[in-house]
Amino acid sequence: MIATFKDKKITAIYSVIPSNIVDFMDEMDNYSFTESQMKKLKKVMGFNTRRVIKEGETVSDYAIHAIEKMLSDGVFKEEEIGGIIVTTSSPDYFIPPTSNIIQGAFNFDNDCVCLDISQGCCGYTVGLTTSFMLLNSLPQEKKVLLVAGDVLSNRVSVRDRASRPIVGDGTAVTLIENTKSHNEAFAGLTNNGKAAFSVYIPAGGSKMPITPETTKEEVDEFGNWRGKQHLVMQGDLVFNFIINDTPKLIENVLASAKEDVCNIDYFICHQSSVFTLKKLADRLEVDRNKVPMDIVPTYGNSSSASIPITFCKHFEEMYSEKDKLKIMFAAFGTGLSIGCVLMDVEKQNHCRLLEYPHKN
Amino acid sequence: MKEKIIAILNELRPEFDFAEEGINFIEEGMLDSFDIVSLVDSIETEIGARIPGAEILPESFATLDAVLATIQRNLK
Repeated sequence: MIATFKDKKITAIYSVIPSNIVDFMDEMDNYSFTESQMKKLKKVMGFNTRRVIKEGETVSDYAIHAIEKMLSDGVFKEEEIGGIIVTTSSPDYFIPPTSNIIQGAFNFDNDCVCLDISQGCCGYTVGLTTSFMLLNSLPQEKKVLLVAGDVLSNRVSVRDRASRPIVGDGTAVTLIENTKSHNEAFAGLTNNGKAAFSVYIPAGGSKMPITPETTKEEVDEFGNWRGKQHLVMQGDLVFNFIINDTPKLIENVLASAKEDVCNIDYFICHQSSVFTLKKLADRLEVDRNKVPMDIVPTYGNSSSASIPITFCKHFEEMYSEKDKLKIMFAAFGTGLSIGCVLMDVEKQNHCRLLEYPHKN
Repeated sequence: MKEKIIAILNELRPEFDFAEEGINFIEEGMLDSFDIVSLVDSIETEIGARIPGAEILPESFATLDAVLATIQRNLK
Protein backbone atom coordinates (compact mmCIF):
# COMPACT_ATOMS: atom_id res chain seq x y z
CA MET A 1 0.00 0.00 0.00
CA ILE A 2 1.19 3.47 -0.89
CA ALA A 3 -0.97 6.33 0.35
CA THR A 4 -0.77 10.09 0.31
CA PHE A 5 -2.08 12.29 3.11
CA LYS A 6 -2.53 16.02 2.87
CA ASP A 7 -1.89 18.62 5.53
CA LYS A 8 -0.77 16.57 8.51
CA LYS A 9 1.96 17.46 10.95
CA ILE A 10 3.81 16.06 13.92
CA THR A 11 3.66 18.64 16.70
CA ALA A 12 5.40 16.97 19.62
CA ILE A 13 7.23 13.77 20.56
CA TYR A 14 7.91 12.76 24.15
CA SER A 15 9.89 9.53 24.52
CA VAL A 16 10.27 7.74 27.83
CA ILE A 17 13.00 5.19 28.56
CA PRO A 18 13.66 3.29 31.78
CA SER A 19 16.35 4.71 34.08
CA ASN A 20 17.42 1.14 34.73
CA ILE A 21 20.58 0.22 32.76
CA VAL A 22 21.82 -3.30 31.96
CA ASP A 23 25.34 -3.85 30.57
CA PHE A 24 26.01 -6.62 28.03
CA MET A 25 29.38 -7.45 29.58
CA ASP A 26 27.74 -8.03 32.96
CA GLU A 27 25.58 -10.75 31.39
CA MET A 28 28.52 -12.67 29.98
CA ASP A 29 27.86 -15.79 32.04
CA ASN A 30 24.34 -16.11 30.53
CA TYR A 31 25.57 -16.58 26.98
CA SER A 32 27.63 -19.18 25.17
CA PHE A 33 29.97 -16.53 23.72
CA THR A 34 33.69 -16.43 24.39
CA GLU A 35 35.08 -13.16 25.77
CA SER A 36 36.63 -12.30 22.38
CA GLN A 37 33.28 -12.95 20.64
CA MET A 38 31.53 -10.70 23.17
CA LYS A 39 33.98 -7.86 22.49
CA LYS A 40 33.62 -8.26 18.75
CA LEU A 41 29.81 -8.33 18.89
CA LYS A 42 29.81 -5.29 21.12
CA LYS A 43 31.38 -3.39 18.22
CA VAL A 44 29.65 -5.05 15.26
CA MET A 45 26.11 -5.54 16.53
CA GLY A 46 26.02 -2.76 19.10
CA PHE A 47 25.59 -5.08 22.08
CA ASN A 48 26.39 -2.69 24.91
CA THR A 49 23.97 -1.12 27.36
CA ARG A 50 20.21 -1.20 27.21
CA ARG A 51 17.36 0.28 29.21
CA VAL A 52 14.94 -2.19 30.74
CA ILE A 53 11.82 -1.83 32.83
CA LYS A 54 11.50 -2.74 36.48
CA GLU A 55 9.07 -5.56 37.18
CA GLY A 56 5.42 -4.68 36.61
CA GLU A 57 5.99 -1.54 34.55
CA THR A 58 3.94 -1.32 31.37
CA VAL A 59 3.46 0.69 28.19
CA SER A 60 0.57 2.61 29.75
CA ASP A 61 2.72 3.60 32.77
CA TYR A 62 5.29 5.14 30.46
CA ALA A 63 2.68 6.72 28.18
CA ILE A 64 0.86 8.29 31.13
CA HIS A 65 4.16 9.70 32.39
CA ALA A 66 4.83 11.24 28.97
CA ILE A 67 1.31 12.68 28.65
CA GLU A 68 1.48 14.19 32.16
CA LYS A 69 4.70 15.95 31.13
CA MET A 70 3.14 17.11 27.85
CA LEU A 71 0.16 18.57 29.70
CA SER A 72 2.34 20.28 32.29
CA ASP A 73 4.49 21.69 29.46
CA GLY A 74 1.33 23.07 27.81
CA VAL A 75 1.76 21.00 24.62
CA PHE A 76 -2.01 20.44 24.24
CA LYS A 77 -5.28 20.55 26.15
CA GLU A 78 -7.17 17.37 27.03
CA GLU A 79 -10.32 18.47 25.18
CA GLU A 80 -8.34 18.76 21.91
CA ILE A 81 -7.66 15.02 21.73
CA GLY A 82 -9.92 13.11 19.34
CA GLY A 83 -8.07 9.80 19.32
CA ILE A 84 -5.53 7.67 21.16
CA ILE A 85 -3.78 5.05 19.07
CA VAL A 86 -1.51 2.54 20.79
CA THR A 87 0.89 0.38 18.80
CA THR A 88 2.54 -2.36 20.80
CA SER A 89 3.25 -6.07 20.86
CA SER A 90 3.29 -6.02 24.67
CA PRO A 91 -0.08 -4.65 25.82
CA ASP A 92 -0.80 -4.22 29.52
CA TYR A 93 -3.59 -6.83 29.35
CA PHE A 94 -5.62 -8.84 26.83
CA ILE A 95 -8.61 -6.86 28.11
CA PRO A 96 -8.96 -3.86 28.38
CA PRO A 97 -7.16 -2.18 25.51
CA THR A 98 -4.13 -0.16 26.60
CA SER A 99 -5.55 2.89 24.80
CA ASN A 100 -8.63 2.79 27.05
CA ILE A 101 -6.43 2.64 30.16
CA ILE A 102 -4.59 5.75 28.96
CA GLN A 103 -7.85 7.50 28.09
CA GLY A 104 -9.18 6.75 31.57
CA ALA A 105 -6.12 8.22 33.26
CA PHE A 106 -6.97 11.72 32.02
CA ASN A 107 -10.00 13.88 31.35
CA PHE A 108 -10.15 13.09 27.67
CA ASP A 109 -13.59 13.28 26.03
CA ASN A 110 -15.68 10.11 26.08
CA ASP A 111 -16.00 10.26 22.29
CA CYS A 112 -12.21 10.12 21.96
CA VAL A 113 -11.42 7.15 19.69
CA CYS A 114 -9.35 4.47 21.48
CA LEU A 115 -7.56 2.02 19.24
CA ASP A 116 -4.93 -0.63 20.00
CA ILE A 117 -2.89 -1.95 17.08
CA SER A 118 -0.90 -5.16 17.54
CA GLN A 119 2.41 -4.18 15.95
CA GLY A 120 6.01 -4.41 17.06
CA CYS A 121 8.95 -3.13 15.04
CA CYS A 122 6.71 -1.34 12.51
CA GLY A 123 4.45 0.11 15.18
CA TYR A 124 5.50 3.71 14.71
CA THR A 125 5.04 3.86 10.94
CA VAL A 126 1.79 1.88 11.06
CA GLY A 127 0.65 4.16 13.88
CA LEU A 128 1.53 7.34 11.97
CA THR A 129 -0.35 6.09 8.91
CA THR A 130 -3.41 5.15 10.99
CA SER A 131 -3.27 8.50 12.79
CA PHE A 132 -3.38 10.32 9.45
CA MET A 133 -6.39 8.22 8.42
CA LEU A 134 -8.15 9.00 11.69
CA LEU A 135 -7.41 12.71 11.40
CA ASN A 136 -9.11 12.67 7.98
CA SER A 137 -12.32 11.55 9.73
CA LEU A 138 -12.19 13.73 12.84
CA PRO A 139 -13.19 17.41 13.09
CA GLN A 140 -10.37 19.60 11.75
CA GLU A 141 -9.35 20.91 15.18
CA LYS A 142 -9.04 17.50 16.85
CA LYS A 143 -5.63 15.96 17.48
CA VAL A 144 -4.39 12.39 17.85
CA LEU A 145 -2.01 10.94 20.41
CA LEU A 146 0.06 8.09 19.01
CA VAL A 147 1.50 5.89 21.74
CA ALA A 148 4.22 3.62 20.39
CA GLY A 149 5.78 1.42 23.00
CA ASP A 150 7.05 -1.99 23.95
CA VAL A 151 8.27 -3.68 27.12
CA LEU A 152 9.60 -6.91 25.69
CA SER A 153 12.75 -7.32 27.79
CA ASN A 154 10.96 -9.69 30.16
CA ARG A 155 9.69 -11.76 27.20
CA VAL A 156 13.23 -12.73 26.21
CA SER A 157 15.05 -15.58 27.91
CA VAL A 158 18.05 -14.48 29.98
CA ARG A 159 19.98 -17.24 28.19
CA ASP A 160 19.02 -16.21 24.65
CA ARG A 161 22.15 -14.71 23.11
CA ALA A 162 20.38 -14.00 19.81
CA SER A 163 17.84 -11.54 21.21
CA ARG A 164 18.54 -10.75 24.85
CA PRO A 165 21.58 -8.49 24.31
CA ILE A 166 19.61 -6.23 21.99
CA VAL A 167 16.16 -5.85 23.51
CA GLY A 168 15.37 -2.67 25.42
CA ASP A 169 12.12 -1.09 26.56
CA GLY A 170 10.51 2.28 25.99
CA THR A 171 7.39 4.17 25.00
CA ALA A 172 6.85 7.38 23.08
CA VAL A 173 3.86 9.66 22.70
CA THR A 174 3.53 11.66 19.50
CA LEU A 175 1.02 14.45 18.98
CA ILE A 176 -0.28 14.56 15.40
CA GLU A 177 -2.70 17.07 13.96
CA ASN A 178 -4.14 18.63 10.83
CA THR A 179 -2.41 21.73 9.55
CA LYS A 180 -3.47 24.47 7.17
CA SER A 181 0.04 24.74 5.79
CA HIS A 182 0.60 22.48 2.81
CA ASN A 183 2.38 19.35 4.02
CA GLU A 184 2.01 16.06 2.21
CA ALA A 185 2.94 12.76 3.82
CA PHE A 186 3.62 9.62 1.81
CA ALA A 187 3.15 6.27 3.50
CA GLY A 188 4.01 2.77 2.36
CA LEU A 189 3.26 -0.52 4.04
CA THR A 190 4.10 -4.04 2.94
CA ASN A 191 3.73 -7.41 4.66
CA ASN A 192 4.90 -10.98 4.28
CA GLY A 193 2.67 -13.06 6.52
CA LYS A 194 4.17 -16.26 5.13
CA ALA A 195 7.21 -15.44 7.26
CA ALA A 196 5.14 -14.39 10.28
CA PHE A 197 6.77 -16.91 12.59
CA SER A 198 10.28 -15.61 11.94
CA VAL A 199 9.76 -13.49 15.05
CA TYR A 200 7.30 -14.86 17.58
CA ILE A 201 6.36 -15.79 21.09
CA PRO A 202 4.83 -19.29 20.95
CA ALA A 203 2.97 -19.38 24.27
CA GLY A 204 0.75 -16.91 26.08
CA GLY A 205 -1.96 -16.37 23.49
CA SER A 206 -5.05 -18.42 22.68
CA LYS A 207 -3.19 -20.94 20.51
CA MET A 208 -0.89 -22.06 23.31
CA PRO A 209 -1.80 -20.95 26.84
CA ILE A 210 1.09 -20.87 29.32
CA THR A 211 1.29 -24.03 31.42
CA PRO A 212 4.08 -25.51 33.57
CA GLU A 213 4.93 -27.63 30.51
CA THR A 214 5.36 -24.64 28.17
CA THR A 215 7.68 -22.84 30.60
CA LYS A 216 10.23 -25.67 30.59
CA GLU A 217 13.32 -24.29 28.90
CA GLU A 218 14.96 -26.15 26.03
CA VAL A 219 18.30 -25.54 24.35
CA ASP A 220 18.66 -24.96 20.61
CA GLU A 221 21.61 -25.83 18.37
CA PHE A 222 23.32 -22.51 19.18
CA GLY A 223 23.14 -22.89 22.94
CA ASN A 224 20.13 -20.61 23.53
CA TRP A 225 17.77 -21.72 26.32
CA ARG A 226 14.14 -20.72 25.96
CA GLY A 227 10.69 -21.56 27.25
CA LYS A 228 7.68 -21.30 24.94
CA GLN A 229 6.75 -17.98 26.60
CA HIS A 230 9.96 -16.44 25.31
CA LEU A 231 10.55 -14.53 22.09
CA VAL A 232 12.20 -16.47 19.27
CA MET A 233 13.80 -14.70 16.34
CA GLN A 234 15.37 -16.13 13.21
CA GLY A 235 17.84 -13.30 12.85
CA ASP A 236 19.29 -14.34 9.50
CA LEU A 237 15.84 -14.55 7.84
CA VAL A 238 14.79 -11.21 9.28
CA PHE A 239 18.07 -9.60 8.20
CA ASN A 240 17.64 -10.78 4.61
CA PHE A 241 14.03 -9.58 4.56
CA ILE A 242 15.09 -6.13 5.78
CA ILE A 243 18.00 -5.80 3.38
CA ASN A 244 16.13 -7.04 0.30
CA ASP A 245 12.63 -5.63 0.80
CA THR A 246 13.01 -2.35 2.70
CA PRO A 247 14.88 -0.53 -0.10
CA LYS A 248 12.12 -1.52 -2.55
CA LEU A 249 9.42 0.06 -0.39
CA ILE A 250 11.51 3.16 0.24
CA GLU A 251 12.04 3.51 -3.52
CA ASN A 252 8.29 3.16 -4.13
CA VAL A 253 7.48 5.81 -1.53
CA LEU A 254 10.10 8.14 -3.03
CA ALA A 255 8.65 7.56 -6.50
CA SER A 256 5.17 8.31 -5.22
CA ALA A 257 6.47 11.57 -3.74
CA LYS A 258 8.51 12.31 -6.90
CA GLU A 259 11.45 12.74 -4.58
CA ASP A 260 15.09 11.80 -4.98
CA VAL A 261 16.85 9.84 -2.25
CA CYS A 262 19.56 12.54 -2.14
CA ASN A 263 17.01 15.09 -0.91
CA ILE A 264 16.14 13.14 2.24
CA ASP A 265 17.76 14.83 5.23
CA TYR A 266 17.51 11.85 7.57
CA PHE A 267 16.37 8.24 7.55
CA ILE A 268 15.01 7.60 11.04
CA CYS A 269 14.85 3.83 11.11
CA HIS A 270 13.73 1.15 13.49
CA GLN A 271 16.82 0.32 15.54
CA SER A 272 17.23 -3.39 14.83
CA SER A 273 21.03 -3.58 15.11
CA VAL A 274 24.02 -1.43 14.16
CA PHE A 275 25.11 -4.00 11.60
CA THR A 276 21.72 -4.10 9.86
CA LEU A 277 21.45 -0.32 9.71
CA LYS A 278 24.94 0.05 8.23
CA LYS A 279 24.11 -2.48 5.52
CA LEU A 280 20.74 -0.84 4.84
CA ALA A 281 22.37 2.59 4.48
CA ASP A 282 24.91 1.12 2.04
CA ARG A 283 22.18 -0.63 0.06
CA LEU A 284 20.29 2.68 -0.21
CA GLU A 285 23.55 4.38 -1.19
CA VAL A 286 23.08 7.08 1.44
CA ASP A 287 25.67 8.52 3.79
CA ARG A 288 25.64 6.48 7.01
CA ASN A 289 25.53 9.80 8.92
CA LYS A 290 22.01 10.31 7.58
CA VAL A 291 20.91 7.11 9.30
CA PRO A 292 21.29 7.44 13.08
CA MET A 293 22.20 3.98 14.43
CA ASP A 294 23.42 4.51 17.97
CA ILE A 295 20.26 3.58 19.85
CA VAL A 296 20.88 -0.17 20.21
CA PRO A 297 24.27 0.38 21.92
CA THR A 298 22.86 2.97 24.31
CA TYR A 299 19.21 2.10 24.99
CA GLY A 300 18.54 -1.17 23.16
CA ASN A 301 15.95 -2.02 20.51
CA SER A 302 12.61 -0.95 21.96
CA SER A 303 10.52 -2.22 19.05
CA SER A 304 7.57 0.18 18.47
CA ALA A 305 9.33 2.99 20.34
CA SER A 306 12.72 2.87 18.68
CA ILE A 307 11.97 5.41 15.93
CA PRO A 308 10.64 8.20 18.18
CA ILE A 309 13.43 7.54 20.70
CA THR A 310 15.95 7.93 17.87
CA PHE A 311 14.24 11.14 16.76
CA CYS A 312 14.29 12.62 20.26
CA LYS A 313 17.91 11.64 20.94
CA HIS A 314 19.12 13.29 17.72
CA PHE A 315 16.67 16.18 17.65
CA GLU A 316 19.09 18.99 18.58
CA GLU A 317 21.85 18.00 16.15
CA MET A 318 19.44 17.25 13.30
CA TYR A 319 17.84 20.68 13.54
CA SER A 320 21.02 22.63 14.26
CA GLU A 321 21.04 24.17 10.77
CA LYS A 322 17.49 23.78 9.46
CA ASP A 323 14.02 24.44 10.84
CA LYS A 324 12.37 21.87 8.59
CA LEU A 325 13.67 18.47 7.57
CA LYS A 326 12.54 15.93 5.00
CA ILE A 327 12.48 12.71 6.97
CA MET A 328 11.94 9.12 5.91
CA PHE A 329 10.70 7.07 8.84
CA ALA A 330 11.39 3.41 8.06
CA ALA A 331 10.54 0.38 10.15
CA PHE A 332 10.87 -3.36 9.56
CA GLY A 333 10.54 -6.60 11.45
CA THR A 334 7.76 -8.43 13.24
CA GLY A 335 5.03 -9.56 10.89
CA LEU A 336 7.12 -9.64 8.81
CA SER A 337 6.23 -6.08 7.94
CA ILE A 338 7.81 -2.95 6.56
CA GLY A 339 6.42 0.54 6.94
CA CYS A 340 7.74 3.86 5.65
CA VAL A 341 6.49 7.41 6.03
CA LEU A 342 8.07 10.30 4.16
CA MET A 343 7.16 13.78 5.36
CA ASP A 344 8.52 17.18 6.26
CA VAL A 345 8.89 17.59 10.00
CA GLU A 346 9.30 21.08 11.41
CA LYS A 347 11.55 21.91 14.32
CA GLN A 348 9.44 21.55 17.41
CA ASN A 349 9.56 23.18 20.77
CA HIS A 350 8.21 19.97 22.21
CA CYS A 351 10.59 17.07 21.76
CA ARG A 352 11.89 15.42 24.91
CA LEU A 353 13.67 12.22 25.91
CA LEU A 354 12.66 11.43 29.48
CA GLU A 355 13.76 8.80 31.99
CA TYR A 356 11.02 6.95 33.80
CA PRO A 357 11.10 7.43 37.57
CA HIS A 358 10.95 3.83 38.82
CA LYS A 359 8.95 3.36 41.98
CA ASN A 360 10.83 0.25 43.21
CA MET B 1 44.98 -13.16 0.96
CA LYS B 2 44.19 -16.77 1.89
CA GLU B 3 46.51 -16.63 4.91
CA LYS B 4 44.96 -13.35 6.02
CA ILE B 5 41.45 -14.85 5.90
CA ILE B 6 42.55 -17.92 7.83
CA ALA B 7 44.10 -15.67 10.46
CA ILE B 8 40.85 -13.68 10.78
CA LEU B 9 38.81 -16.88 11.08
CA ASN B 10 41.18 -18.35 13.64
CA GLU B 11 40.92 -15.19 15.69
CA LEU B 12 37.13 -15.42 15.58
CA ARG B 13 36.92 -19.09 16.51
CA PRO B 14 40.34 -20.25 17.79
CA GLU B 15 38.97 -23.67 18.69
CA PHE B 16 38.73 -24.68 14.99
CA ASP B 17 41.26 -25.26 12.21
CA PHE B 18 40.11 -23.19 9.26
CA ALA B 19 43.13 -24.10 7.11
CA GLU B 20 41.89 -27.65 6.56
CA GLU B 21 41.25 -28.20 2.83
CA GLY B 22 37.69 -28.52 1.52
CA ILE B 23 35.92 -28.08 4.83
CA ASN B 24 32.45 -26.47 4.96
CA PHE B 25 32.43 -24.04 7.90
CA ILE B 26 28.64 -23.86 8.12
CA GLU B 27 27.88 -27.55 7.87
CA GLU B 28 30.60 -28.32 10.42
CA GLY B 29 29.18 -25.79 12.85
CA MET B 30 32.37 -23.73 12.84
CA LEU B 31 30.59 -20.46 11.97
CA ASP B 32 27.14 -19.29 13.03
CA SER B 33 25.28 -16.14 12.03
CA PHE B 34 27.05 -14.03 14.69
CA ASP B 35 30.43 -15.28 13.44
CA ILE B 36 29.44 -14.32 9.91
CA VAL B 37 28.62 -10.72 10.85
CA SER B 38 31.88 -10.56 12.83
CA LEU B 39 33.74 -11.96 9.82
CA VAL B 40 32.14 -9.35 7.54
CA ASP B 41 33.26 -6.60 9.89
CA SER B 42 36.83 -7.94 9.96
CA ILE B 43 36.92 -8.25 6.17
CA GLU B 44 35.73 -4.66 5.84
CA THR B 45 38.13 -3.18 8.38
CA GLU B 46 41.21 -5.32 7.72
CA ILE B 47 40.94 -6.04 3.98
CA GLY B 48 38.88 -3.11 2.75
CA ALA B 49 36.17 -5.00 0.88
CA ARG B 50 32.67 -3.75 1.65
CA ILE B 51 30.26 -6.70 1.51
CA PRO B 52 26.72 -5.75 0.39
CA GLY B 53 23.91 -6.85 2.69
CA ALA B 54 22.34 -8.98 -0.05
CA GLU B 55 25.52 -11.13 -0.15
CA ILE B 56 25.57 -11.79 3.58
CA LEU B 57 24.31 -15.34 3.25
CA PRO B 58 25.80 -18.55 4.70
CA GLU B 59 26.89 -19.74 1.24
CA SER B 60 29.05 -16.63 0.78
CA PHE B 61 31.20 -17.72 3.73
CA ALA B 62 30.80 -21.51 3.77
CA THR B 63 34.30 -22.39 2.54
CA LEU B 64 37.65 -20.70 2.22
CA ASP B 65 37.17 -20.44 -1.54
CA ALA B 66 33.71 -18.93 -1.07
CA VAL B 67 35.05 -16.31 1.35
CA LEU B 68 37.85 -15.48 -1.10
CA ALA B 69 35.38 -15.13 -4.00
CA THR B 70 33.10 -12.90 -1.90
CA ILE B 71 36.01 -10.64 -1.04
CA GLN B 72 37.30 -10.49 -4.62
CA ARG B 73 33.87 -9.48 -5.90
CA ASN B 74 33.71 -6.61 -3.46
CA LEU B 75 37.23 -5.22 -3.29
CA LYS B 76 37.22 -1.50 -4.09
